[in-house]
Amino acid sequence: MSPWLRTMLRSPLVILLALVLIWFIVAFLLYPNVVNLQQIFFPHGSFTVRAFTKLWESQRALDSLRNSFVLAAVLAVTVNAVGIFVVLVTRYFAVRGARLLWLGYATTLIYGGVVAVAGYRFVYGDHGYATRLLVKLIPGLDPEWFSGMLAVVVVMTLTTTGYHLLFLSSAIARIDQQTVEAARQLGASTWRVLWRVVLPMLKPTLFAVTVLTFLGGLTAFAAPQVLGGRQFETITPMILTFAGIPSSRDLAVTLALILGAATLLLLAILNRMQAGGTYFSVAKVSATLQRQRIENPVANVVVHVVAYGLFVVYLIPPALIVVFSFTDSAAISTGRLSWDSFTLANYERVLTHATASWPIVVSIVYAGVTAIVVIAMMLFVARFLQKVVNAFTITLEYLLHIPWMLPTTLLAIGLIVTYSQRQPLVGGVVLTGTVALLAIAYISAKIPLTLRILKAAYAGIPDSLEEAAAVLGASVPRTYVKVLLPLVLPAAAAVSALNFNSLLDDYDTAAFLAHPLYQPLGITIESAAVGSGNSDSTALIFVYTVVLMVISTLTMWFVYGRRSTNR
Amino acid sequence: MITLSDVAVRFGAVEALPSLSLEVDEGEFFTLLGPSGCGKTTALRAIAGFAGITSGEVRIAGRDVTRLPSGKRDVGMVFQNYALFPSMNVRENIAFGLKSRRRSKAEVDRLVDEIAEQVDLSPDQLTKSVADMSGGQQQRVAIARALVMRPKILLLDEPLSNLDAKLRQQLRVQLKDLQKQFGITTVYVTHDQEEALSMSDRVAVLNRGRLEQVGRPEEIYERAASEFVCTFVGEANKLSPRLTELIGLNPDKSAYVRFERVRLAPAQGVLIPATVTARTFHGAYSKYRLRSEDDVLQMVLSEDRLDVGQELKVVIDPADVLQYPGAAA
Repeated sequence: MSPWLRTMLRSPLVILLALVLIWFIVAFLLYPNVVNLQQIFFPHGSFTVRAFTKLWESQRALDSLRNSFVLAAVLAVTVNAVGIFVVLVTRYFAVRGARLLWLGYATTLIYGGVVAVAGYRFVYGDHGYATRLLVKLIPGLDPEWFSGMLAVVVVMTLTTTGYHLLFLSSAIARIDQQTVEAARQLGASTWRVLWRVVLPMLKPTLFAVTVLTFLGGLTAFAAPQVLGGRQFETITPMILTFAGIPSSRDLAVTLALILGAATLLLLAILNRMQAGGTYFSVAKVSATLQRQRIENPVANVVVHVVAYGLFVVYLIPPALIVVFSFTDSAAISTGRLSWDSFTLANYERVLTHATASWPIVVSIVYAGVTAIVVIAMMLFVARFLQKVVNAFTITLEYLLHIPWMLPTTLLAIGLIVTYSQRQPLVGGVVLTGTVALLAIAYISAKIPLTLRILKAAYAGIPDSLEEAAAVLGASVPRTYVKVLLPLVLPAAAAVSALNFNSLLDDYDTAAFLAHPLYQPLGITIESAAVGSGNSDSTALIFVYTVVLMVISTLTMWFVYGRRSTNR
Repeated sequence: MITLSDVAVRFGAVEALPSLSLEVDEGEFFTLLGPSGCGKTTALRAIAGFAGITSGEVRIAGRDVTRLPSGKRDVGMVFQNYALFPSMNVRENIAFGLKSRRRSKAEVDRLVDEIAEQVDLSPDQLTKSVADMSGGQQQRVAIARALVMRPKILLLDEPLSNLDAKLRQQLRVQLKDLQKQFGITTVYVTHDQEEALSMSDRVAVLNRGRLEQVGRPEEIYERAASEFVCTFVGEANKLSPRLTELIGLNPDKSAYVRFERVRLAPAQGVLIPATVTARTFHGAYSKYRLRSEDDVLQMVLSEDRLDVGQELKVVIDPADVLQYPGAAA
């Protein structure tokens, strides 16, 4: 046993924290999944596959399964096409105004999930501004043209390119300019260099974002729920429907299990693909990639036109929402703007009326509590798992990754079913229907990313720093507080900000677990989006969206922007 | 001052140090020299208390410290990458150990100011972030941080390896001066033979975890105890059986002669006819490659006197030849 571990195990606080962690894993990550499996295969104590037979007999359930896989496959193509294009025009090719274009495309980073879905519906839905304009131009156009699979695919394609902007952009930045120059010097054209040299180097990242996109399509919730309608139902909304009907809960769990199995399979393939190969550069000294000129003038014009066209498509919904959030209900309902339409009344209402600001308060409290609890837990856990590597800690680490391996829906269903009755694991109380269950689900969901980032941050600290402190006589706690903690704090702050941000507009988990009186923003926005478009509630949603975009922008600046300005 | 008795260190299946025994005298500058992976850093870390010792004993000033944690061994250490705490400025880095021992603020300030002056760190440098300092300055901070604790022993793990050649030479002198000034027993780890020979009172040459030779630098160079030491420390020609026999020595043993001991005739020794095949200029001296029948010899001359293609006679004194058991080339 290492001296470090010996010191740790002598501390009652460490022992207590370890016991709490093990209890959390068992109670909220493992046991609910066991209950899920029990619900499907042993509903009455003996083994049965009745749930699968029932699923097979339900045409609606089968259609939703098929739709989900079709959506995932289509998105894998469309998101890659748009995502690769936007990254190439902002990071690879010499395109005029690339920075401005990036800002437009990056709106998906501050404006996603149910907020974006609602935004697109407000603009292109049956009462939407763009639809009204289109109906005037094309009188025969069905006002509900933007619904079903087309709408889901369009919205999800545009809002899922965030992965490309984050991961593919940084992968392109790592490409060695010398390899591009070598290909050019050997006579390769712009397109041949892109096709034969650059894109192959991006293969691992492309594969990873494709898998993430596919998974996103498979588990899609807000977009099919708001825009899909009866003609395009997918798995997750169907799980929510079945979960609400006591006699169909087994169907909900079975669908969630299928989703979980598909997720695990795809993640296993992703891990296998990522295991081998050096793709970026084998050079000891690499040169920064320069933007490549598009030499063919026609191609250059086409690329510019498409790039700016997409820019407008990306920008219209958030821009209109910002503008109309400052207008009165008449302007919101008619879509007509005049100087007299502008007002701060909507903001005043949200800031001064308790009922209007309530969803924001609920979301901020949930997101804040989750961010604080998760970081406090993981600062300790990540350090422990990084220092002590044995069969027990490896197992513990795998278990903490369960929320990453299984879809939110499966975990949510597990929690609902498990804690809808008294459970000794949580002191014999019923948690379903309380505010605690959503917080538990949020905390579980944020553990894997936080753990990964903090573990990487700890691993980045040279052992010699800790040894230097030890040789100078510092105790383990003093070394941690004075030497290690200051070094991981930037990463801890960044991941907390990301956690906080991502929960503010959560819909997927809240739809299953939110308390009726403490409904977070995601639920409020979704309800307004699927509703009839009452202009007062629409105005509130616009203000909520703007507030979320401001918070997200500040978070992104805090996480990414500040670092680059400090450099 | 330091005694290592049969110290063994294993990392899983890897035997980093099979069994090492050595003694370091009080006030001595003692160097552990060897190639990468020879176990020299492991030996240093065993003294510091960082390498889990499988068996054996470490004594410092007569006290068995084998099971003592690092902070209680009364040693100071300078790491290869200096291990300065990036979240603290220079003063905080130097004061860290004193504060860990709960010394009063006034005493901490006084000791930090004193040591900073001794290692040539100006008062305004003390408020700087360590990230804003050059490699040489960072090294001084690391030394100050170790010495301010007034340890019995100073351990230095390749502290010059991250610096450029010129600075390395300057700091060798400064480091040696500081060691003399403090009179502190120092164990220095390096793979650089020039560093080891120029700075040390004694050198221990390690190979694959085993001690090959311990001695003064001159002894190590002139009377290398093994073929490994002969080839690792300094440059030497390996003589063929033909040349060994020509010189009048046993051709069944491997034989070596240092480059500078191959002399131009006339000189005392055996004459060997040769032709100059290449020359490389090194500033203060030139190195020549010679061919004698099928054998290659190298020699160094302080003056640039020979031309490529020139035929000449060189001399090797049998007394200069180092022989070791084992097959000749």
